[in-house]
Amino acid sequence: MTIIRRFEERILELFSKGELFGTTHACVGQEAIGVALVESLTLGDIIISNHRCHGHYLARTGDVRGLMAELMGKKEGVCGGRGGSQHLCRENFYTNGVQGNMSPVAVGMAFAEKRKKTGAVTVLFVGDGTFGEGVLYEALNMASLWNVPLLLVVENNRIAQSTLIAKGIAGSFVGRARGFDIEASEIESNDVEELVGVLKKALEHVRDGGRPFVQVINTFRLCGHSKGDDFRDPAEIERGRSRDPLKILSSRMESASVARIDKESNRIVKDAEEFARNGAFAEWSVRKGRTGR
Amino acid sequence: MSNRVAIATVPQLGVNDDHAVIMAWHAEDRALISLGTLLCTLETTKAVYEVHAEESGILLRLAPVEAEVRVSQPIALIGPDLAELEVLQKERYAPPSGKVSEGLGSLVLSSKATRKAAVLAVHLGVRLDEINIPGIIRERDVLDYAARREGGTESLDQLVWDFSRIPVVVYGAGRGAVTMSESLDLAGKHHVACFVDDNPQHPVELAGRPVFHSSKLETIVARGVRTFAVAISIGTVRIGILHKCLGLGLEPVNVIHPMAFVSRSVKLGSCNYIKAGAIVETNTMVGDGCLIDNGAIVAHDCTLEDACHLAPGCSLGSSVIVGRYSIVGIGVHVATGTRIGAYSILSVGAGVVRDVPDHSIVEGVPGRVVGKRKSTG
Amino acid sequence: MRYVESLNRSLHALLERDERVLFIGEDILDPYGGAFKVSKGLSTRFPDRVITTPISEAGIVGFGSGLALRGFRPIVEIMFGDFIALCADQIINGATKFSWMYNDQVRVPLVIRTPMGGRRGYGPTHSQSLERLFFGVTGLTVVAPSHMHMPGVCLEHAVADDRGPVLFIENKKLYPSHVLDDGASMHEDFSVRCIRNCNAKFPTMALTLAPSSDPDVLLLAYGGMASYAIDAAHTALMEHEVVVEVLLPSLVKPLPVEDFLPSVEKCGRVVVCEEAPKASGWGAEVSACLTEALFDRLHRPVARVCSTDTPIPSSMPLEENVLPQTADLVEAILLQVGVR
Repeated sequence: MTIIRRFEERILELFSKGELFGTTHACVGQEAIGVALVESLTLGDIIISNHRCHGHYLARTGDVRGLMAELMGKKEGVCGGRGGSQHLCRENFYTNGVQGNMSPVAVGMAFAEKRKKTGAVTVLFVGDGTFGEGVLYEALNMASLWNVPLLLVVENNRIAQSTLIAKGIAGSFVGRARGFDIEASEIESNDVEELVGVLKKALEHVRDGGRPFVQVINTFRLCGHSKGDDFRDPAEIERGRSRDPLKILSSRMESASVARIDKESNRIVKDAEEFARNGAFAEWSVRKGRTGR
Repeated sequence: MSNRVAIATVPQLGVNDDHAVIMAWHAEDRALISLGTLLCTLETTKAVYEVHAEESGILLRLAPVEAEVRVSQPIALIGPDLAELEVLQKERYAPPSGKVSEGLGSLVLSSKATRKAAVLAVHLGVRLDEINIPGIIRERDVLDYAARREGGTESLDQLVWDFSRIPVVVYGAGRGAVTMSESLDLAGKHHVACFVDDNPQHPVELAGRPVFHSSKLETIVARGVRTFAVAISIGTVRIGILHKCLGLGLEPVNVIHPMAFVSRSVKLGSCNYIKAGAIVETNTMVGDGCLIDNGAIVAHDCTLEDACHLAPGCSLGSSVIVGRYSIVGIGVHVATGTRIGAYSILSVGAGVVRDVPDHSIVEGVPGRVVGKRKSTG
Repeated sequence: MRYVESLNRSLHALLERDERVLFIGEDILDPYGGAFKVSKGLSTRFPDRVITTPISEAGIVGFGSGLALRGFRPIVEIMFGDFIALCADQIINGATKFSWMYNDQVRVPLVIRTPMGGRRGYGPTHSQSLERLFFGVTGLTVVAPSHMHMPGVCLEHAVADDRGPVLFIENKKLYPSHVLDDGASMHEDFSVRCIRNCNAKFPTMALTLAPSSDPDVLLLAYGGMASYAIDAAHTALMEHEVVVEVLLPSLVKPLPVEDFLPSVEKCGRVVVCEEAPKASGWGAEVSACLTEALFDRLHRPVARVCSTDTPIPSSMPLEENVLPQTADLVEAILLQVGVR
């Protein structure tokens, strides 16, 4: 988790210095979820994530160098610099930047794995705001209708960009799932050890039970939506800090271990940064095709 | 009532008209009519003409109202026996088994021949089923067949050559073409190798040169005639032919009689004809396909747009603009700086002192707009 | 063989030959067999490979993308081409982007089939030709066979294409039309040849009534406009002795320009037609490409014959005024040669 934290903090710095391209959506404060999930994943399982995907990516692949290089637009990046922060793909890990638009794709993938009898589970990460998009409901309907092995993890940080959940979402997530006859469970937690157990159960439900499942995790976003766009009440953000997953876990560890992890994480992130900086941009004959013939 | 069947055909209505439109039928179809009865009215670009019965008998119409008909095309049968007329109509002038197009219901149309081929076949007395070629029969196939049948009256060996001059094919074989041919001859640089014409009933020979059907044009080009001039009085047709010949890779020539005066600073487009006695003064600009007739006077700094016709003896003051496809009639006077719109007709002797809008017909002194020119012939 | 039969036969063959092929759509199960009966018999023969879906156009295209990404060859049917608007995000920001933005790590061999076109009185939202909205989507191939192609064979090639996705456009008026069988000439007297300069799998068919002459005008059309183009060429020769060569590409995007260039060079006068409004349509693309390639050989600007800039009404006489007819094509041909 620390690696993720240090990574996210560093890229936010680099962005504000103008050294990275475009935009990003950091997951500071939400690191526990991805980390907890991968504890129970098998090699063949698929993760489909969204714009706020770095935590999921690093937890799943450990590819800090590749991600940093991708953000710097270099050819050693995950997608050679083409995708950037929101469009990552590596083996069974896929992300896309339009809210909800991967949800039917996730259903297709889960259906495919079921047909091939691989036993793989497809995990789809969405946020609370995603439930505004219609295609997500189409996907839930199909998932339930066809019994696909899909686990929908809702990272409910109660804010969609700048819109608080009360202004964006009517009803409940669990209620929605049950409306499609999909079983669902909800928990308020940033405790990674607790979440490991929760997500293990959720995965089992899908893998063994052969039915889709919705796991809602109420969490807190400690950073802005992308960069410098956090207009929440500062007092609320302060309260959120008390639920910082890193704090929660490190309170149970020896300070020496914590310090060691911290140091190691910094080193890893720094190494990745240097690797990425030294890398070259992908070569293309970019000019061709821009002027007619 | 005579015993024979009379065929009423479309007369030659004007020197320059080869089409007319049936405006109205005045005699009832399949009714008994007497000699001299008004059958129908035909309209050309400039005139309305009445066709009268030249026999008594029962009338059988061959073409409907608003049909566009060609000169010499049969439009009615008159005879003593209706049944006989109907048989004749079916045999020789029957409408096609498929879709009947407006205009030429008198033809036997088949799916193997184009309409123009069918028309030509009727004129030349050729039966389409005698022509044995793969694919659809076209006009030129009919001509080839007819030529071979008659032993090659359309042989291209009759082309006239003069190796000291550039050979020209003149498109159009009417009387204007004879004048043009003389102008070219006198100008000294070109000689007329032959004439071509769209009318399948063109004369065989004109001014000592052979006349061929226009479908032979490509073959004429292949024989070595690379230059053309257009002797057609209708502006739109002239321009259409200009483009057609350009499309075939022919070079246009401006025909200028040696007794015309054209200032060196005049800018001429292509395919213009300037006749004896015409004067075109300094810095005047002329487009494509204009006809500047005998004794026409064009003062300096005028502009003549495409396809204008300046008739004999007309005079334009300086800085006059004549719009495209306009006709400036015989002896018309146009005051300095006047703008004549496109598609206009200035009638004989008019004295134009103010701008004329497009499509106007102007008469009198001072010139007044008396009507709208309704077609672009 | 009729157009719809050709498709049906090929679908049967595809499902038979390759286990990865799945057929997905709304109302496609037997006995109904699809809104236009294209899938008749499939669900009976291959019950586990034919998937009937809820009414979720966006959902099923995304579903197809997911299947394609994980090794299958899905064919997704969108019942009426007008509904493709519902799939826009899945096509534009999903299916056509994955391969490129993931740096060629994945492929999406997805085929989306849908019927387009009017002339049946179905009204404004069931008669359109909306493929034109997708001409600007990079990474998408658009195939639209006419009755002068073998639509089933085109479909087989589309499914076999590794580089997908392919948007496969069928014209609903063409479903009952006979298609070009090998050797048989369906339009009497036309000589037909097959041009494959650009793409061997999706050829352009060239038709002329006068193969021994160079054409006076080229007429380009695709899909449902093919029969109108052929009729116009027939009228042009029979009534006006204007020789027209009709070019019918099956590949509409990317434009198979190389298939057209030799003919354009011969005559320099081109008319393009489409069953859609003029602005920024297929004709605009053809015109621009031909002008770039052969400006010096064009005698006139490329003419475009298109629908009027209005929605398509249901009443048939009104619809006739909106959609291009044979007479419009003939008029344009005659204008190009200067006869009008």
